[in-house]
Amino acid sequence: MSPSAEQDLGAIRGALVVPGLPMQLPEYAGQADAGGEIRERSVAALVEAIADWKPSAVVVVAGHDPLAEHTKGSVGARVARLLLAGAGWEGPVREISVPIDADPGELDGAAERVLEGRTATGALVLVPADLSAKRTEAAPGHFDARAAAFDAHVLDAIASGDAAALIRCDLVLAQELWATGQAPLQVLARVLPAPVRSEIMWSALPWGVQYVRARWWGRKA
Amino acid sequence: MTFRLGRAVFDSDARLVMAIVNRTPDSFYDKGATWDDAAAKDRVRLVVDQGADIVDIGGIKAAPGVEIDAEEEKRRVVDFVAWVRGAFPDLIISVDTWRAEVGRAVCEAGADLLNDAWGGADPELPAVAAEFGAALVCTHTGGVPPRTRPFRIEYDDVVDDIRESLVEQAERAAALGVARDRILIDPAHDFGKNTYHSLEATRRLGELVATGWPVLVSLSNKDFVGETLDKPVGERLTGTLATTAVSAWLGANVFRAHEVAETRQVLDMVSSIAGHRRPARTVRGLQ
Repeated sequence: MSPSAEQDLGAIRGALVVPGLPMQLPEYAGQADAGGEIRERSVAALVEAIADWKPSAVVVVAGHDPLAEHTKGSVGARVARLLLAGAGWEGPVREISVPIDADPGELDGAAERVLEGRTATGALVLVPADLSAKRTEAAPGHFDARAAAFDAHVLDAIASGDAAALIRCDLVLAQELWATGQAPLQVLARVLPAPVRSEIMWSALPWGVQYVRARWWGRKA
Repeated sequence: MTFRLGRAVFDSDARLVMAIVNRTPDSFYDKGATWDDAAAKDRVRLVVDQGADIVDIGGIKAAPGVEIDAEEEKRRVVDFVAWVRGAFPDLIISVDTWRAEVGRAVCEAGADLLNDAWGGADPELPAVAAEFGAALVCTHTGGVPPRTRPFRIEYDDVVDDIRESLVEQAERAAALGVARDRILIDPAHDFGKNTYHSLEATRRLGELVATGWPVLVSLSNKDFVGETLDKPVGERLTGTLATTAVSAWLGANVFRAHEVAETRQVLDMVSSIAGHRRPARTVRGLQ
């Protein structure tokens, strides 16, 4: 699956979207590691992506809550560091943080910062990002009837490698549905604007939150 | 500070459940429920399943009653200790006895701990623990003889009396050869105490913990709980568990109990609040 030169996406080898839930962090685990399986499968996906794409660097695009007043750093970035450590990645890493309520201008700015870091041999973009958190009565954000259609649209855009469809998502609705991953996904859509090859490796909503693990790589033929 | 019971080593933040297994026909709470051999064995299996760390086997009820001599006490407990030892090789076995003669027999049968519930009534008991490498619980009874209810006992300061008595007993046991990390102290709620005394012993339990000897508390369904809440035997679980939680928070290490599953839950909860134990499973707010 190694990309040939013509498949190179402006020196971005490919992107891996992974669940970003804090339950994956060891400091939040109970005796039973409820987020462990999700974390380990993401590590495995990252190992596979690194082996396939042989990137020279990793760019993490993670959302952060501008209203959260703590110094721990964003959960997404911390999850990404954990996954990279788990995958044994020792190369360079750049973290691009984007507010989860970013407007289009901020998203464009974040995308430019991703592209500034392009290297000749290509980067892997790692995106911890989750969809809505209002799919069921027991979901963190309770049930919202609009959430299923929203998630279906985003999943379809990811599955088909359709960056333009991702960018068309309603940012206000995403906020209302607690889709904290929408901003980083929109940044991804901006740095890989052409139709790309895509694969959804897993998607589920075990706690009323829609998760997805997917990858984008290479231009579509 | 660590302490040892049997082959196990425990840290100072350990919170262990000692399950009561009576080999008596007349104990105040269970009224002979495990007098029968098969019922007693079932009880051991149950409490192990429920998370007991220790079983405390007793052949004589604490309250006054028909006199039970050492031969009868041994008939009630020794063979049973041997059965538990065989069936549960890693379970810590305690025997509630004040008699050195009985202590020797149960240690030969495999007991790990002698629970001297009557505060050194038989001065030879620590030497038996020392001989067998067993652990010993020292208790405060205010000087009353075994199986005697308190009557008009007063103290200048009950906790001072408890502490001085227990430290003296513990040091004596150590001098007789009991390993220092196999000696526990028990303020013995209700024993030689009225309800105010037991409440104060609970409130000031930290002073006993501060002695450095691991503290055992025996609270389960006792009269001080009943009098405090005006509840008869059979309706004292809530009060017992409240006292258990407070005692655990103040640093007690071993909790002698009838209701093992409930006690285990309370201790696990306290341990997690104290930051000594991770919750079982964490999802809320982290999805």
